[in-house]
Amino acid sequence: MNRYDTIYDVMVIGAGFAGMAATLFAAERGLKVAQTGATGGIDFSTGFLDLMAVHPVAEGRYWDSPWDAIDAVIAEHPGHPYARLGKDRIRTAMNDFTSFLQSQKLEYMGHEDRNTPILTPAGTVKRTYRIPRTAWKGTEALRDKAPTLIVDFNGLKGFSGRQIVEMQHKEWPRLKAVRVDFPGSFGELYPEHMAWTLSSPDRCKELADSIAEHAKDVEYIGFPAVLGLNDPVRTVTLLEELTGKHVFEIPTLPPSITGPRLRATFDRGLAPKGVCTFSQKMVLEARRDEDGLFSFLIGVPGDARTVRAKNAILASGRFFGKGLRAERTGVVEPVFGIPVTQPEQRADWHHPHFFDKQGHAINMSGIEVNDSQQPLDAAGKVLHDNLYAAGAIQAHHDWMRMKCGAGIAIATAYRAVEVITEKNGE
Amino acid sequence: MADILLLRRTARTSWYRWAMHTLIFIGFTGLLVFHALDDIISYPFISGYESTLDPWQWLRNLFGGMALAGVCLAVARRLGNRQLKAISRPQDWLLLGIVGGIMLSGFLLEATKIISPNVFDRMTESYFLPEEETDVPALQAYWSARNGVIFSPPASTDADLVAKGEELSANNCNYCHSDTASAFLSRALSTAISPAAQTLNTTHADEYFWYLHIVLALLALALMPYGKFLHPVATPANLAARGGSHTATPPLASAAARKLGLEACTRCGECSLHCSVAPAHAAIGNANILPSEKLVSLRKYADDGLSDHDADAFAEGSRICTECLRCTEICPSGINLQELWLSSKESLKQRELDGPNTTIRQCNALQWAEVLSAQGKSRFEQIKGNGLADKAESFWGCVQCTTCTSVCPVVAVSEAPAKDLDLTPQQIMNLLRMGLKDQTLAARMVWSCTTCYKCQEHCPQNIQVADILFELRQIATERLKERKLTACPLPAATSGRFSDTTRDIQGQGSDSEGGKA
Amino acid sequence: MRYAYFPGCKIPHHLPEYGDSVRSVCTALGIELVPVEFSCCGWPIRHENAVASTYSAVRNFAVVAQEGLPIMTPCKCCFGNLKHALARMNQDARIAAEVGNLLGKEGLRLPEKVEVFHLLTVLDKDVGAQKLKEHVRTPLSGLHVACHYGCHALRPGNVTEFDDPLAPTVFERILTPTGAAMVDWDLRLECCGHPLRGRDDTISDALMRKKLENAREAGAHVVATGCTYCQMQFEQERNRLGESAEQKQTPKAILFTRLLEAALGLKSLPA
Repeated sequence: MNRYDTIYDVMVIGAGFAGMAATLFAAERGLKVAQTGATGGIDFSTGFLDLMAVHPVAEGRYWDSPWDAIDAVIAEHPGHPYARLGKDRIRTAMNDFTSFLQSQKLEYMGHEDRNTPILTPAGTVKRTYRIPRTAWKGTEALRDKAPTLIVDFNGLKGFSGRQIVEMQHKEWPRLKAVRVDFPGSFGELYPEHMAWTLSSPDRCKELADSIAEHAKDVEYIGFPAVLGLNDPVRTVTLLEELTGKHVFEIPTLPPSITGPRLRATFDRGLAPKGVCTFSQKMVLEARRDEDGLFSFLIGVPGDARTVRAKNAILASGRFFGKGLRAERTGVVEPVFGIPVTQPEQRADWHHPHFFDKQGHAINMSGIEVNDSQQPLDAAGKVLHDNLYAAGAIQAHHDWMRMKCGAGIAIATAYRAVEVITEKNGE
Repeated sequence: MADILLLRRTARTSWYRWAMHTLIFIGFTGLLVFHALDDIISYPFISGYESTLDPWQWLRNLFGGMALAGVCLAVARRLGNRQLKAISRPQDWLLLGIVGGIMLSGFLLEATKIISPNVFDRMTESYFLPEEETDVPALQAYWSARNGVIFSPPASTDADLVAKGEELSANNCNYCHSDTASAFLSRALSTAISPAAQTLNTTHADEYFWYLHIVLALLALALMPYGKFLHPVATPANLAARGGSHTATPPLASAAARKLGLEACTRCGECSLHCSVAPAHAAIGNANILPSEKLVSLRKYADDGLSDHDADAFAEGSRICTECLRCTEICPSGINLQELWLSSKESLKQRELDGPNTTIRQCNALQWAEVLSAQGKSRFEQIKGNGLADKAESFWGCVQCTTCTSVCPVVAVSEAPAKDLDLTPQQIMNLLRMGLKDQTLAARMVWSCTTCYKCQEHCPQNIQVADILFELRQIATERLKERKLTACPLPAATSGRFSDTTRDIQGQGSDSEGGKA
Repeated sequence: MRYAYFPGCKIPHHLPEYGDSVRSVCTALGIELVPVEFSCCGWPIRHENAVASTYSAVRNFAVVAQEGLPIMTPCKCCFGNLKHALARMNQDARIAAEVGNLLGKEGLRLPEKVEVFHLLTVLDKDVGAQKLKEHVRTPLSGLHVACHYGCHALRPGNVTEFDDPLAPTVFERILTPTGAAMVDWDLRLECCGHPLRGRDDTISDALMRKKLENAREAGAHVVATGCTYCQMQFEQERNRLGESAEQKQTPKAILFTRLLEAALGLKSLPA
């Protein structure tokens, strides 16, 4: 059977968090799913799953309870994506998502009702909802301010143990750092290559030996997140055995290995569910045919083919993901031409000060959807009854500053699939 | 033996060629044995042999006719096939010309002799004692009527006289002469040229044709040791030496065996017609890509007789060969071409003549940047216009996220990428988007890219990283070729590749105009 | 199931074993291979000349159009370059024009429809795991196989459309019915190093060693290949280099068609 001749139940446009979540949920409900898009923002993820942590943005106030934070943000921003979802649904979506990851041997940990503080590579502390198991012990070390060694490597850019210690030394005096050579390498280092190297037990032994002297007086050892590629728990466990200490990972600057691990988990796990992936193919054109089905032209200009689907979930992200395009006169949504809510003038896009705590108006722009996650036209009417939008492309949130990116992506995707399934059942 | 005598290998590939070659082979051999060497073979071993007696006279026409027909087929083949015509060299035409010339001059000789009264007179003067006055006219009448001699004025056609002539002929001539009718081709030819008989007879054309025939035959003999003329000896010898193998095994044991193979080529062109990389020849135009032509260069290469320019062309042809064995399997002469290619490639490699990949590694990326940018873009680049590497659109999406570098297996196995590879993929993309293409052309990363396409597959912005690296190699190759650079013209830097001097480039970049030297 | 058989240049001299086993497996499974005199796929010359490379590939499409058959090749590099050339013809007007011109000189033209498959895909779509299993006579129980995917069939996925480029499964789908155990290994999608053979031997060796080492750590007894070049790298180049005692411990490479032959009871495995 030719994958171009199939009529899919759902075409998911995008391969970031929202696209992966939509694809996963739809496939789990037995829908025939096609997915397009370049390797998405998921590659740039820290691996943490944020739900909701900061509000108001201008104050940078962190919330312990993501659920309370959701209430608070909805109160102030009634258009916020969470306002259309309901907490139960958000909770179910997050749980379904992490259960899938766990089934693929990428285990996540966290507290039921609160965020967990964790170190960032910059040495600051953020709060997040779900954390990969290999990073979890870092939250315990941070909580207890336990004697801890941060290891970094000559040649690895963007990760400095010293910087972390500098940032934390007041609250966490027993935190120290050491810089060593990475086993078998000199010159610059890249996380994926290091992760490969450390999937070899011999190299782990070399690494453990090289830090043994410095780790004598600590309980925890924190490494940049390069401890193995596809089975990091095995590498972490091995290093714990070799050093006799608790070991945890701290994500490095993107592209770190934590993002590719997540993506690889989806790549592995989605194919057996019958998902058809059109990798690295972009949607050049979308058309709704007279029979109500969508035809998508995917590929590159001059070399593109058509794929048809009964429903579409637009999960193409924002500017980096090419879901929104900033043109001279305004922001547009390039695939369906959905109107984008945005500041009136280009001059209003950004705050005069780039690092202003309030963030920038442009970051709250995006497309409008109804409770069923269906995009709306300028008059507030549903654009197509079989078109849905999920993730960051929706308006009225600043996921980066609010720390709600993964949550929005996963929960809106969940809702979109839910509506499609309900309609299918009718 | 079947390969040699029945030309079995030829029949395998083409019946046309088999027919053509068999005609020449049988015809020529027959003539050689019975006719050319008649003093040595025919007279001593065949009692009563006379070249003008049947069946020899008839056979001579038959053999000559076969050989001539074969030559005609060969000429038609070379002219009829565009590709073959293109690769036919002067020596191919020379051989066909000489063989055809020998046959043609032989027939003309025989034909002019048939019609010649001079020859008739010479014969009658030497071998005929007329007893009556009408004896000679009677003989003339008979030979004119029966055997086509054209007298001037014409001989009598009186029936009685002819009858008398027949009797005289039977008693005097027939010991040595069969009817000229059995020289069926020459006789036909003589009829055809009869309108010009007068002129031919008075000018003694038969003597000229005799000289022509002999000179051509001697010329062929003289050319025997050279090139294609040796193949009647070398080819069977090679076939015998190879013992019927169609593959590259057993390998050639000695230089002598290789030499024999080189000489055995009949330049039939079959290998080139079936060559796997013939399309590359069509696109690039270097004849050395085709095996039959590369063999000619290889012969010279073996004698160190190639000019630098020809050596480059030979090296390119050798490099492009994919060692697919097809030429070896198909060669009617059973030449182990495969082994010749493998050994000559090895030799080229030893001498660092094996192509741009070797050349480019002879000095560092920065030196090459200087050399390759000196004359700007190659003509080829100018004609084809901007490629991926020149277009700003190719890199619009690049945010220098290092994903390409991070997934690159070459960077991964390198202990110190800056030292081993000069630049990482993402740094190359960065230089390109700044318009510094020439600085990347010789970077080790470009030339040691393993073409696994991971960078391109993983790029979040869908940039054609691997395709661009391919293009950079193609551009550098074009420039090297166009500027006939088979070695770095600068003294090789003993240490310090691109990376150690990156700062210098960037410094220059800000000083000069955009650094695009 | 009839295919124009495209063995590629390297099989006849360098890896006749692959050609033999491809034929015997196809015969056993009812796949008819029609011999066509193809020219080079254009892969080897792609490093230096895009037009020559594309034309080499495209000329084959024009030739096979006269047969009206899809192309099947057992070589991943041939497969990859044939697909690449098709994409170039659609995406690069200049190359398309030059190639069209060269074709025209021979009185040929690019056919409307071109179908190119790798043998693995053919087995997957025409035979399938279920039917393969029915053909198995001597299961390869106890054998741990690490499938080596080979780059040029897999990537770029949007050009080759061979399988999911990030999480392919076709190789395992075809070999699972033999009864062998499939090994999950980190480097299964990485390069064998052959493209750098003779160009940069140091890196070529390093890539090969790294893969073999990883396969060993993952518990593989053999590495299965489905590409002429990969097999040449893992077998002949490796043997030529000589190995330390430790390096000898890493798994040997074997053509997947040899594994199938063994499972189908056509020819036993080498000791």
